[in-house]
Amino acid sequence: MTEQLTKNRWDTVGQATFRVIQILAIIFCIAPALIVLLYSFYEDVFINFPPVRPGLGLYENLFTQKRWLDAIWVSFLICIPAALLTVLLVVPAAIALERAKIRNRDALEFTALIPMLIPTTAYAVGVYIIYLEAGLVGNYWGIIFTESIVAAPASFLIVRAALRRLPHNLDQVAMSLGASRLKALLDVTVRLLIPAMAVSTLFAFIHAFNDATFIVFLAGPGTATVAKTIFDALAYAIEPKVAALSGVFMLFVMLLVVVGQIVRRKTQPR
Amino acid sequence: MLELIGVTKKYGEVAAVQSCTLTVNTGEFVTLLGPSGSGKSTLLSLIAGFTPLTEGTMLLDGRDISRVSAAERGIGVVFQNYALFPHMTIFENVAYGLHRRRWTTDRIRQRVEEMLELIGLPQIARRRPDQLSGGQQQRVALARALAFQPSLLLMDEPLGALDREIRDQMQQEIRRIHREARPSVVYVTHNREEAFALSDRVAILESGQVRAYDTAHTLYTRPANRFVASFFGAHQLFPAKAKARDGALEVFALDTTARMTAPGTPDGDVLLAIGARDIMPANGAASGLSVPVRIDDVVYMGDTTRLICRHGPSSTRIISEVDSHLAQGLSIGSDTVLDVRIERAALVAA
Repeated sequence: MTEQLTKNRWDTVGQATFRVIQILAIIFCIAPALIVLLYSFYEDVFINFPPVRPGLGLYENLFTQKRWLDAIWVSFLICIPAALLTVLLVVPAAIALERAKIRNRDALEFTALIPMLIPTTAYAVGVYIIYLEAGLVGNYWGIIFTESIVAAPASFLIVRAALRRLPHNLDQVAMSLGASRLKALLDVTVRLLIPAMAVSTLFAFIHAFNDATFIVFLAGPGTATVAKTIFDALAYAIEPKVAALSGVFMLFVMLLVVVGQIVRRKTQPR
Repeated sequence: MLELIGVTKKYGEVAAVQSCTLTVNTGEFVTLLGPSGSGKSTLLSLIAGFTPLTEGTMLLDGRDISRVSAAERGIGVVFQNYALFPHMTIFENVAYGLHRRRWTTDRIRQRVEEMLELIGLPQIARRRPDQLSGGQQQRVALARALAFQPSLLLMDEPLGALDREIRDQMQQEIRRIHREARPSVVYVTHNREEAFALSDRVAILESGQVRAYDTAHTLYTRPANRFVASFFGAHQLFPAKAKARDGALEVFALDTTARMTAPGTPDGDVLLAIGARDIMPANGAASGLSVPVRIDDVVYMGDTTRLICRHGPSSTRIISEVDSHLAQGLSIGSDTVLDVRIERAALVAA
């Protein structure tokens, strides 16, 4: 009886410890985000802790200053085409790698994941050198192309996971019923991949939107996305305005993630 | 009518299907039966046109379809996993092949209703596949495959994913639908009972080759070779010597001799193939081989009881399955004499 109780007590201690670690981990993950959000609702000129002058001045500033508005515009100009291009690359790649009889399938699949595995900065330096030679530094389409390649692995994995859940023989049935290979692919497989494609586009967009590294290397002085503007602003001084920008930036991305999750839930075949 | 002539599929050097020749008559129900890896599904895929063939010719109603695309063959296909289009209603699923053939809307509606009537599910047109049970889904798959009136229907283990009870029901359904719609059918399974219950003829496949092709009855009672005898008939095989004498055959097996009249069977060193139900405890008057045995185990199976016995110095294993009331009083470890009813046996080449 006593033994049993002791054991229970230890269990309780273990559980409590676990709970504490859990809470700390969550705090550690979201604290920076919360602090940035907190600061965005103050008007301190310097970063004090705790902040002292509450107000929406930063937001007002953000949405009226040309530099920030331009950055938002540039971000969209780059990220939307990059996201679309990513999906155009990723869907055929996933279908080919999953369905076709390909030699060295594993090696090819690994290649598709490389941009995700190589350290970002090193990869960016590599792209920079190539672009320098090709005269593509600062080129709009050059930037879009790189952003979509870098976003590709995550998008690829999303599409491939969805593809793996589809039975292989749906297309075959469609063909036996009189659909050409292409018609079968479009009517069945591609049609059933639409939700995954939407989520994958969204993730590619978020990926490109978050990127500062590649932009810093490839964009040249003229092109400043939101992420790069934050970066630049911090290079000269710790500007509280950055907090507001980061706050909006963050809320926007969170919103996209939530939308992505909802799309996925709603459309997943039960 | 489907004619396969020397159909071969090789992956590299390995032949998944090796010079397969067989004919399926119009309206006939043919089962391809074989253990896994015997090439039966590959053969089905070749007929459907999903897999390009390496050599040979396939004729469907006289037309050479060997190099024709799956879409243009006009062959219905049913898979084990039903493969209904999950984003379409039942109506749209059944109508898919008709749309591809550019039928008019009215004709399509009429035909789909007809098909749902045929499978006994007229109320489900608006539902989606995930709202149906497995058995219902498979019936819809059948309706979809038959809607455009193909002259040939291929089924790849269509009952494999269903529970036993539903499977028995579906067997009846398939028999009925085959009787009513009368397509030629090529049906793939590894289940002997399905082959017995459904087929007009059965093709036995092993390692990519057709080992035998005949009615289930003939394959069971007169197996062409030892593989058919053991795999299809589930027969026991005993080494035997056969010698023609006075218009009959004298067979020496299990250390005894008996006479049998089996026209056209091989002689010399052969194998005696016989089912467990045709071996029973001898009640005085043995009509075949009288074989003394020791009973190693008695397994009660309800209607029947299985006696697992061994015979002679080499402990040859003999299994006898008898009506349970005949097995009363037989106990493990006791000695008895079995009557191997030689007139029911078949001789196959060793």
